[in-house]
Amino acid sequence: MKRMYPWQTVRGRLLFLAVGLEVLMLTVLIINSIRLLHSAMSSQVQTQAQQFSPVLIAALTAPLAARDYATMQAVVDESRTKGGLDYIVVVDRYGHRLAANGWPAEMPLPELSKELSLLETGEDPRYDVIVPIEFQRQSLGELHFGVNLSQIVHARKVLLLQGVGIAAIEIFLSSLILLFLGFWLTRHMKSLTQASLEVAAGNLSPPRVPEGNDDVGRLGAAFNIMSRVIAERVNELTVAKEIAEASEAQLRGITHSANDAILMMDPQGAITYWNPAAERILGYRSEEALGHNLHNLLVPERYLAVHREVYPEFLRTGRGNAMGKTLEVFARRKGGQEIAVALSLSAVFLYGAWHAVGILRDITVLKQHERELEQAREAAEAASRAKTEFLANMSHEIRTPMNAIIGMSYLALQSDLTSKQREQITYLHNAAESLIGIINQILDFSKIEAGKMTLEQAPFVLKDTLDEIIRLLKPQLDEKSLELQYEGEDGVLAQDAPLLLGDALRLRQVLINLLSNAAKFTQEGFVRLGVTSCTTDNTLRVVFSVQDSGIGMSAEQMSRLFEEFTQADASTTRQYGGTGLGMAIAGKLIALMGGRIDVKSQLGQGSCFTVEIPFEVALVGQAPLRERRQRIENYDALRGIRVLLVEDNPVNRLLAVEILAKKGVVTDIAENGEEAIRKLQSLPPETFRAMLLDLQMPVLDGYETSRIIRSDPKFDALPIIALSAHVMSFEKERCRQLGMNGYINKPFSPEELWTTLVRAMRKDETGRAVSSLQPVRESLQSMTELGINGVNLSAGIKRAGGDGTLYAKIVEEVLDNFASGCEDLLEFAVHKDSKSGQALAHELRGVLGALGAEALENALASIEEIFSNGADPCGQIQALVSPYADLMAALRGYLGTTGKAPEPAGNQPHQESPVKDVTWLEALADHLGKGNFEAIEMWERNKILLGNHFTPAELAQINRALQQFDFACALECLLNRAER
Amino acid sequence: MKRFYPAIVFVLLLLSTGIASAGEDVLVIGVAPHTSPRVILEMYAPLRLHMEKTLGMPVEIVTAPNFDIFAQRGLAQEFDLAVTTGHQARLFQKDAHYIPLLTYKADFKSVALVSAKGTIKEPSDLKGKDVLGLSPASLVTLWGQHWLAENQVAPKSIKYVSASDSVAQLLISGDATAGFTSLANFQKLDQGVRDQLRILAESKPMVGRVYLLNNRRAAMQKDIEAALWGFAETPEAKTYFETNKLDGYRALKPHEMDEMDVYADETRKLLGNVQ
Repeated sequence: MKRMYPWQTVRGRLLFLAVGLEVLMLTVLIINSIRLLHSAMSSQVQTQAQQFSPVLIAALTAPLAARDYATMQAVVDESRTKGGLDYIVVVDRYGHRLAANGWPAEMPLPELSKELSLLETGEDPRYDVIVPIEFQRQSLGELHFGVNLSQIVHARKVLLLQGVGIAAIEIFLSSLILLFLGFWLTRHMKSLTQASLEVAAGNLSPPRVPEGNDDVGRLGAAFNIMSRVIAERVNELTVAKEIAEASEAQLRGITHSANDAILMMDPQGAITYWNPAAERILGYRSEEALGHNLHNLLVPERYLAVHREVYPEFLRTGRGNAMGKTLEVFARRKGGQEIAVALSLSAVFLYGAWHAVGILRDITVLKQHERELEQAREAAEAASRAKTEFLANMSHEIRTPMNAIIGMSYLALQSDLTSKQREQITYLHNAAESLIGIINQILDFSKIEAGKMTLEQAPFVLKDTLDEIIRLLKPQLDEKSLELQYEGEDGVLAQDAPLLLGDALRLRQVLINLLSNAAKFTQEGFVRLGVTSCTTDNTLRVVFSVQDSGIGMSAEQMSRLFEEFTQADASTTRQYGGTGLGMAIAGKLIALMGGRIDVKSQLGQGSCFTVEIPFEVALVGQAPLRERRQRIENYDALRGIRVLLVEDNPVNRLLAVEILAKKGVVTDIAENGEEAIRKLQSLPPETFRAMLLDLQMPVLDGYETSRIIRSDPKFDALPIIALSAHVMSFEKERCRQLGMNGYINKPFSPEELWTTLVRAMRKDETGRAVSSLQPVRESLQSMTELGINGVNLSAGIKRAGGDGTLYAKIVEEVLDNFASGCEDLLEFAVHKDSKSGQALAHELRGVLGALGAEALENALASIEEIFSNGADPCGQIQALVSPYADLMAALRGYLGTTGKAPEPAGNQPHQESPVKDVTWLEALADHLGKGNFEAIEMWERNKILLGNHFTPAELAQINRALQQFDFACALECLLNRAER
Repeated sequence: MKRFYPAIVFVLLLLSTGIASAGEDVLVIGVAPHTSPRVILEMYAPLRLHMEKTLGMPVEIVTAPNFDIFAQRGLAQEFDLAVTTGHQARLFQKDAHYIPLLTYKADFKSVALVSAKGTIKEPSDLKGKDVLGLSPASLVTLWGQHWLAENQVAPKSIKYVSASDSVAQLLISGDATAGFTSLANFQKLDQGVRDQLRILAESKPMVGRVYLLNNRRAAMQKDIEAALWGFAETPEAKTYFETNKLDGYRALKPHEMDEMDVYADETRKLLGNVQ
């Protein structure tokens, strides 16, 4: 080991430091003492001089004034002997020496000492003082004297020498003590040094060094611990190194064998890692890539601008939009060829900076496959579009002749026929209806399969829908004398049950399908429809159960139940008929509605289908009152109006003209759009109340015709109703966009045609149609005279199209749904729910306006406006509570007087004994006898009143006859019963 | 000795001229040592300052250890302006050609004091007694000696003391029978002291301290006289006059100085003895 000099050891350095510090401090101490001593001595000398001067001057003033030289000399002599002064000289104001002692006469007087110096200069130290002698501001002369400083200088010298001597002794003794102390304190350092050297030489377990409680002892203990920990840590590191090497070898093996290129880039953009796959994919050998700028090498120029923009952020944070993602980009191979790669980027923090790691996968082949797939998909979509168009065309092509068949058979049935002919034509009509049903099923299925089936989301009353289903199914059940059990919990079917949002039409389709099947496959016993519900948040889950006592199904049959084109077995098809699509469509519709269907059945034990469908609960203000009003149409508005029918097909023209004529509609004909436009232009705009427009025509089709008409403002008020055999939903939307007001599918039923026509006219205005119904108005006069307090009954019935039955139903609806309307309004106002309050006020205003309650209508308009302004309408509403209650009472009284379904004179059934109401029955019989379609409507409105007087079988027979437009059969049945 | 007197005076004159010429031109005012030098410097400081201001030159007040030396220095022309007793003034006028300028309005009187409790009633009672005087060359002493001679009294001895209060204390203590001092100084004594004394004799009014201008400053006579008269009008001068009961300056009457001849001669004689 190299020999250490004393100043290289801790001991030596501490000793040098301590001694140096002590020397410094003692020097400072001595210098300061000498300085203070000098200052004190100087001050003392100056004080002595200052004290001495006045005394001497006082003694000299009088002799000087008197020029008493002897006295002056005596004073001077005496003062010098006692004053410790070297000399005293008195001069007059002219500089003449008047008295002197101690200073040779021949020597010039010394100058005044500028400072008092106690340093040895080789001469006698002296402090020369010159003091002017003045009295009464009269200068008398000067006093010169020199203070002898020899003793002070000597004393200072002695003090300095003594101080230095004491300091030297102290330093010597301190050094000895420190040296000894250093040796004693660091006695173990040598062994510690030796042990450290051994550790440095590789011996990680050196002999233990002495330990103790002092610093060095603790250092030794710490060294022992450290050497032990180092040994352990080295062992761990050795193991870790081996693991790391193994891991690195493993990683290298993985990256070398990887099929993806793996690259790493340092912050300067230089490539720092390049695996063999990178060589293969990108074409550069490792030595060609490493160290080169990655972007210059691999990145196409079009990416560089983006890279320059985001790279600083990556360098700063290690983050970027592309980090952690897989991007499909292009990379440039050696030679400049670009290849598609999937690039996964990640960031690694190495050596204090962010490095980017990229994994590139050559996706050239994959992209080729994707392109092929895309082409295949486009081809499939094209095929799908072709299929859709084919279906649309097929639908059109099939439905157009079917329209003729059904319509014409209907018209034929209205004419005088032999029973054989009627039977044959009835078969024809029923077969056509059945065929249309099958076609509709196929089209529904096609739409579902094509994903084009869309469900409506509109408010509806579940009870109404179910009632209607029951009404439609009743004849079928009655025909087989099956018992219909209809059970529903109050929460769902009560009058105040919440409105639901959903597609009531499709729900009806599902349930009709289930119930029809139940009826079809049940020979005797019952068919039961049950309804329960449970509420979750704003969703009402309604569970419908359709149970029958029919033939049931085996497990195998149930497993194929919802497969398309499948029935239980071939014999089933033969025995019961059907396409095998009904259950499949029902299942898919239920799925579309977010519901599910289960079935439990055993052969011969009947079946039970359970359908659970979630519905949202409609908000207040979404009541479907208008829809319900619209479902009950009054075709009287059609009588006498003039419409323009644009149809190229002569059969359909004839059919439509005949159907319209049944309601008194005068029809003008045009065979194509061009001819229609010519007719419109040649006549006053108000000539036609509506236009029925076929969409597919030669010369000028319906679309273009509608566009041209709608471009002329004078025909804005003319309702246009499309006639089409297309059933695709986009056709309806297209018609709406072209400004058409209605849409009728071919084949259409008379009701569809009449109803659509009435509705389209309402959308325009109802006044003109109603005004033409003068006879109806007159017939209502008697009912109007009944009067309702606060209600303009005449105006109300007029708004109901002159339909007293409709008016009464509206009254009933109002009482059912809005009896507490005013209280509800007040509650909204109290809870500051302006939105709901405004909606309810709006609805009440419309409802009461429809009734003719004009005063309340105006008041509610004001309240609606207050709600819309966000103000507080409580006062106004409270003022309305009493009149509103009075109105409700009056309406109840009105219903009690008129019955629930009041009709204008001539149509009014008799509540107590409708059968005995000869007027009503005669009118019905008259309509039936004339083949008037009003007979169907009249029957539908009033048949419920006949339940106690007709057997179910009789009612079913009349129903079936009317559904088949067999008015003669219906009349016969009716007359037979009447006769009894 | 008298032969050398002019020579001494001449040497001193040269010396003083040399001294003066060695420095700036200073107007030296010599004041007879009628009191201590410090009092003289203090008493004449206002006059000095006024003269410096008026004449535009430095002015120095000097005195002498005693009247003899003062007289010698005056005769030696050491003073530009001398302020001294009438008899010395006459001496300076006659022997050193000083020009008398003015004197104080208040009369100067010498008095012979005895103890109020004593038995001395007449001048003749002083025969064979110890008598006190101030300086032998002082006017009061010379007057007293002259008064004793006129009354044909031969005292036992005449002792000289430095100040009037010493005279008073020695008389009260009985160490002397009579003493001579000026009336003004007697009046300055404390009332208690004065009550124990009695004025045995009082001289006729005599000229007091006289301001004399050295003849070499004759050219400045008007300026100096004007400065002196100007000083008399200052508050400091009035205070000075009032404090010392001098009443102010007045011009010398014609032949007023002649009365001092007898005392001047005596003084000259004394000075001759001293020298």
